Amino acid sequence: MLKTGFAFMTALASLAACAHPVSGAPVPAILASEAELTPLMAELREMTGRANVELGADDPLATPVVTILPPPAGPFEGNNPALPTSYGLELRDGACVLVDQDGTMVRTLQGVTCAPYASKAG
Amino acid sequence: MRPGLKPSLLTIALFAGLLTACSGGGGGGGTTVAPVPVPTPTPTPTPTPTQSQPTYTRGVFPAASSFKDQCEVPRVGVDIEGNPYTDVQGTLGDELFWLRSWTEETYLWNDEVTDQNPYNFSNPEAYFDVLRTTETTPSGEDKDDFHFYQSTEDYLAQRTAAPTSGYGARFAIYASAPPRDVRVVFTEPNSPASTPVSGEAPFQRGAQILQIDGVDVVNGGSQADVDVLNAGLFPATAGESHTFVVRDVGETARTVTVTSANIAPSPVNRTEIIDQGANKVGYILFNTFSPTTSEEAIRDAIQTMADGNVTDLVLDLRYNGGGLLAVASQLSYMVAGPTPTTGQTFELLQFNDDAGNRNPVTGQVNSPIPFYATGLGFSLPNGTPLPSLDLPRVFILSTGGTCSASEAVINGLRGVGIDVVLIGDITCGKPYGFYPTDNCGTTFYTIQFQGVNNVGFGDYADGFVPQDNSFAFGERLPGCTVSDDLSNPLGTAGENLLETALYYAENNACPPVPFSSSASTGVAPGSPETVFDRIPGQQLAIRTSPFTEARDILENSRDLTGVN
Repeated sequence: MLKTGFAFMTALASLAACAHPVSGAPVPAILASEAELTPLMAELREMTGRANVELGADDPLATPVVTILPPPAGPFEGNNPALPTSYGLELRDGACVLVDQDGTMVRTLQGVTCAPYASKAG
Repeated sequence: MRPGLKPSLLTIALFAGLLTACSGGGGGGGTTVAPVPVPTPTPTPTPTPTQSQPTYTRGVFPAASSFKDQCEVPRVGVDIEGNPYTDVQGTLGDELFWLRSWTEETYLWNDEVTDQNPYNFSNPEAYFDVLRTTETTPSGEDKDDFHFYQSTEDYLAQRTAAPTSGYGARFAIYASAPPRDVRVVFTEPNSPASTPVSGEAPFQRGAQILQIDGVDVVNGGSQADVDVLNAGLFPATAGESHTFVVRDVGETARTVTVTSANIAPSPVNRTEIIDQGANKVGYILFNTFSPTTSEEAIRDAIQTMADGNVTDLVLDLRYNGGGLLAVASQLSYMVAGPTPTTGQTFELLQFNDDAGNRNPVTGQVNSPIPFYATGLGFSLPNGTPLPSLDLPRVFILSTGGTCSASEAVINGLRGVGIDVVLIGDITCGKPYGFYPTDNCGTTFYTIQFQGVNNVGFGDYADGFVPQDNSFAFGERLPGCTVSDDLSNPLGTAGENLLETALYYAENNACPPVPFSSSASTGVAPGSPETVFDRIPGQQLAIRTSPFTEARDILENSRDLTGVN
């Protein structure tokens, strides 16, 4: 779970600002087009083992972040500790990958095309 | 029973199946509740376990995972969310032993559960009934009032986020059997209930529903009448038109025709900024922390308050049964600001003593919930800075329906030294939570954690209590006891709870004489039997005969979360 979203975003933005597409070096990325949402969602469904996956407020077409909402709560869950789960989106050796907060690769997104993230800072 | 304890809307849905099945029945009053007939825990002779059955040894608990999804009648195919069932052929014994071990591993008070031989029980639900503490709170209430189950099919249907058909009105039933009294509690903005027709909103707060589709709400006695009433109050689909005779507070009856639509309740129902002398007092009617949209909605509301330069804030949580704790944390941060909250704990979930520093349900390290100062991705992008009001005090408007995450806001803010002034009634008293868990088609709710604040306090099972209340128990807060006031619109200075808060803000004391409404609603003093809008797939509240059993159950069940 990502509990330090702002720091995470700052780190990603910093990475993007410094990113030079050197072979093998990870580069913050976004989805190449809206059509990539379909294979992305298929990958996320497989990764989470859930038939229904919903993205959170982060837009992977605009920012290098993929956020997965927790399953919806039932009406009796008045103290619900659920949090969204956020991953960084990166290009590594040409592959589009999800990374966790520490930069550890979580999954290669098969069939998903990404493009380098062009940060405003960069 | 403490004074003023109010059942809320979930209860009617939770018990409706039982209620319709038991109308007119007496007895009951058990604390295990379910929307299916409660099985009688009739002990059966202990059979000799077969070779395939687990063996019971007192005090020895095999891992719950070794029994999970091993079902006497495995489900096949996929559930309504499209997930394949993982059931495999097992035995009744496997199901019973899973409950026993799961309780030992995750139940908050596992050391207060008597280890009983599962083979003395004929079904999992009956066994689950006894897998709980029998201790009581200081006031004498059951310590665990939140031990229940429902079919997993119902659970999944209810947790879908899809809007459901309705008018956008929340109703309260003050008397569910003839002579009935059904009132409008509030309406959703931009809904069929609130959109003016011929210059007037069809439903207004406090209005009494007198007739639906020609049937007398107050006295209609036949089952056919009841069916018409329920069908009108709770339209099954969008696009249904029903005709109501309603009587607004202090007015004569009028007839309105309302067409149902798919409605998603608004987390923030309304905001106001009230000029109070030289000061500006903000008001937010915040009705649910449950949908992910609540993150953005409450941020927007606080931003409105910040833009209006409010110097005091009244948070109206009287109908807010809770939801996402993370949003409760964000709201608390936005009230208090960074100075008292940075690096502090909003809430720590405490699990049973055997769990150590791990969450025994998720297996993860049990880290405290901080005061979140940014968006978390629910409906605000990760890292979005949140506004803050930096207030040293906040007024909370409350009823018995103020529950769970709403109470966590009260407790979390008090934990970092913010003055919380409680105006209204005793809150529901639910510092506890659970992870609903399916096994073999039944979803079980057993208390697994208690939330404590930055100074380690979380013992408010008897509720937060306004200082002047006669109730001898609970956690007392500065504030005033005031009955919910249906005679004035919410968010207007004439409404009793808000008016009392405004008085307190100026005088730092309760009014010497409680405010009273200028117009009488005609509602008998006391709490409604139920307050509800709708939970998909559930039966309804109107009945033909007195509802003794329901009342007992409602009063014994304080898991009063909001319904969305």
